[in-house]
Amino acid sequence: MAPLLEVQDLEVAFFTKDGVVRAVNGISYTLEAGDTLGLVGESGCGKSVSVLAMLRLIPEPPGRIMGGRVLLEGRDLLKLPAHRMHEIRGSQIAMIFQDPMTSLNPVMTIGNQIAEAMQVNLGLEHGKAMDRAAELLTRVGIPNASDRLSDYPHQFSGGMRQRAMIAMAVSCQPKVLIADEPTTALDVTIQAQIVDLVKDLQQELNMAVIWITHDLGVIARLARRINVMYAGYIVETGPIQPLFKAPLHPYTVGLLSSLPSLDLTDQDLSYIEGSPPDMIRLPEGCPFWPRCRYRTERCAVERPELDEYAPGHQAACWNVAEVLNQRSSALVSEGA
Amino acid sequence: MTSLTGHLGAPVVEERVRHAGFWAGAWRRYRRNLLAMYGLVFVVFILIVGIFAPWLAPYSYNKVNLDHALEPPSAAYPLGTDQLGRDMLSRIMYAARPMLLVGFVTQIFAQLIGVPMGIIAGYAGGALDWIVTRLIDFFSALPWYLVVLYLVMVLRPSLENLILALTITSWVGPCRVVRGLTLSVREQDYVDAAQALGIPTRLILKNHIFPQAAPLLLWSFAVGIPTSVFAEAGLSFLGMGVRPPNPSWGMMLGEAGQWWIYRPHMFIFPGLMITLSVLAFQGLADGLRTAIDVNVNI
Amino acid sequence: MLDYTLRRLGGVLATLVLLSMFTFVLSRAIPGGPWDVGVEIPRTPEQIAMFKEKYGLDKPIWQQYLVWLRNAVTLDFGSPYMAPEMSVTQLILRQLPYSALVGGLAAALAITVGVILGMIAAARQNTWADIVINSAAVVVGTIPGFVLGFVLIYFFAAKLRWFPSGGWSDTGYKTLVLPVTAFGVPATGGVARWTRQCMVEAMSSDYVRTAYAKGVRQAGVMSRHVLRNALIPMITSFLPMFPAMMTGSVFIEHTFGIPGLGQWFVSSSFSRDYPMVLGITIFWAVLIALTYFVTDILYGVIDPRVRLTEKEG
Repeated sequence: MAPLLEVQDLEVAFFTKDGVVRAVNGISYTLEAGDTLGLVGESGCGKSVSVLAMLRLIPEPPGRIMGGRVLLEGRDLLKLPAHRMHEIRGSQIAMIFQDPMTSLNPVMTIGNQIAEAMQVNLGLEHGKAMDRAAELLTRVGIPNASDRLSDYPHQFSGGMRQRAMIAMAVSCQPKVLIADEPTTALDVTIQAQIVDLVKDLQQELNMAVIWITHDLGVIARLARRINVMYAGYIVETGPIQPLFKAPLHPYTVGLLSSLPSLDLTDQDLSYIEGSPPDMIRLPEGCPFWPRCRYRTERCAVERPELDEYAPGHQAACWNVAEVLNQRSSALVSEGA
Repeated sequence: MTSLTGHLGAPVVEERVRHAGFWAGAWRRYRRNLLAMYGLVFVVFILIVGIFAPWLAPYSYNKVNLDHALEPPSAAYPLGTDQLGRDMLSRIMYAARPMLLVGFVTQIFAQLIGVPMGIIAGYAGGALDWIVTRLIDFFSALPWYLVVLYLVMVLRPSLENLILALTITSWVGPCRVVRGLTLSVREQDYVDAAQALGIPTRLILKNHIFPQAAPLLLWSFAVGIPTSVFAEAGLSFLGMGVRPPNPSWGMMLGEAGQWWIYRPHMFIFPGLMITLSVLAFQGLADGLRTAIDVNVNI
Repeated sequence: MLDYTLRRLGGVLATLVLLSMFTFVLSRAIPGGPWDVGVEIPRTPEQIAMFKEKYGLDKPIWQQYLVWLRNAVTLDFGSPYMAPEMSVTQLILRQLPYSALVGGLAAALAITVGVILGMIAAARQNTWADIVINSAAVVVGTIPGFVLGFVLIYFFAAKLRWFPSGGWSDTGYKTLVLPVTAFGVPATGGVARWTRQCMVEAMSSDYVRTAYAKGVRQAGVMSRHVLRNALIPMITSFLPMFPAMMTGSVFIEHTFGIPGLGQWFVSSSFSRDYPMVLGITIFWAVLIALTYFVTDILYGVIDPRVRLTEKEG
């Protein structure tokens, strides 16, 4: 069965007065219907830009989509004329954003904002759309929905605002829901609730979900597969369990081991040395080599491509063997 | 397989970070602004003209010569003469002085009054802040030019009184700006930390608040000048500013009386100078604003 | 809301009282008086004393002030020394229409043209149109009104003879064209720049991105999301322009010979016409305070964040 969404060699750059920022440098992946993909990486690695590019929401100067294809059910979205993108947005692919306070119009009622999505995409008339909006608000767990339709965003709490955003996004039953760090700004307890909500909705509507985060803990509950991004490249991709248990790329190893764990009480917190890459002047070879503890001379000159090491599990690194080696000896010494 | 390690065995990270100081970066941003650069050049130019007027001007600003009254520009009088036969070029040069004087001195005084009040109000809060805020409201209740006009009228028109009147209406600007900044800085955790460590207030003010205030104050100084320059021109135009025979561009416009329609040089040159000056100072302030990236919360 | 309103009102009144006190004391404290400027030309000490007694100027200052205050509350500001046959209030109201007409039209001109230009600049950000409009706005905005007045009079009145050079005649609208232009054009610059800034800020906000992501098309985004948000700061800045400009720019009135309030303020100050000066000052202050007040209320009406308090959920 052909995948629902296929991204091929997507490249996005920003032309600024300080230089060209190569935000996304040729990434490819697929997404099946109803599947959940986690997109993980630190700030600035290109994960948000890559999904905004799919919806053509990148501001055109200074940004520009330099190449690649994004196939939704076989149709290349990047070839679509800009003025027809609205047919895709909201109805086929929907998106929720990180900060619900600034992402909602402060002078428009929540009800109107949710109804607006249905009015423009499904052609519903206002009254019906508002009724549906009330239903959706109830569905996402907001009590007294019909009263709250006439409230404004600032009258909601953070978690409720995010729920409203979710209601807005799923109102037209899109095939793909993109969630760009929706829980980053929320309390830990609310985070779990939001994740569960999305999971429920996903099953109910058979939606594919792309969940972007820098927090591996959040993604663990939700994703079936993970793409790890660094400096605009996908450096590792694979099913969630094997990736967590046996990460192949040094960056992933660093990410996972820097998660504080409750039982390691007398160990120093590990971290990844160095600082995030300068996206204008990316180093030659592998973008991670300046910070990598497994690096060899080859890493500084030749950039590795994704290679498969286990079914569905790929990494872009010359020294995977060494990584696995050190990892298994570490596990042995821990007495796993 | 050799690995690259520096001393202590840590991986060597090669970075060449360009360390730009704050002011260096500000200058770079300033340079990009065309209007700001014009402003800078013109202000320097007019400073030179004003300061060196006695040496640069071909005639005295006061030399009355009724034989040559109301003459259009000629070789002897490049910008023509006014109704009393005085050379326009020389008068225009000398007229830079009151403008510069009023512009700069007013703002200096305004800052001297407004800044301490703003800092005290912002930092101490409570009753002091309340008083200062009431004062700010009070002094903002009327449009500045009415207050200045009235004061100058009542106190007898003169340059000193003009400066006094303008200071009274201008101190509010820097005060507001500084108070806003102090209020927001005071909320910061590092101020709490400093207080917890027992650091005396004046050191907190000196080390934490003032360095952040400095660029802002420079900007508020610059931003007040166009208004002062405009005020000097306008009031002298009405006959309320500089006293004759001292020249001022505004006064020259006012003095042009009925003759200027036949001798346009009498209004073109003073008018041009006023406009160019206000524009220059405006550009200076605008450039400073983008250069130091001011985010003023009043 | 009511409590807030009352408190603001109280503050305004307090400011007015203080202002009047200040003006009052200042005017009396400076030596000299109306008799010095040939108002009724009393010269001898006896005549001066008689004058003082007639107008109650021989009483202690605080008494004079209280008398004035008592009258002021009933809107009786006395009579101007210069024209004792009328009351101050009458005179103010008689001169106001001249200023109001010129100022009001100038404000309307500035806002209409400025908003249009600002929106064009915002819609075509960073293109030539934007740069041209922005630069023109800056330059035009800094030309002092009276300088522009001279230029306009020279070209259009003296040379081309299209319009009269001022004064007030019954040639109808023609007299108004030049002063309104001189007054309104510099203001247009500021309006255009502020409009552009408000629009750009609204256009680059997150909720606009969300709207596009929802599938709303550009027209819908502009009208329902951008404009609604941009108009709030715009209206609150532009509304006060009307009273500010309607009460007459002194410089414009002087240049064009318009007998408006600004001119009267100058001449009253010059001739130490205390009742008139105080009257005009209070009138101004009240008008301005009222404008801020109305703007505040308006703000509450159009911005729901101000109007409604947070509910917990």
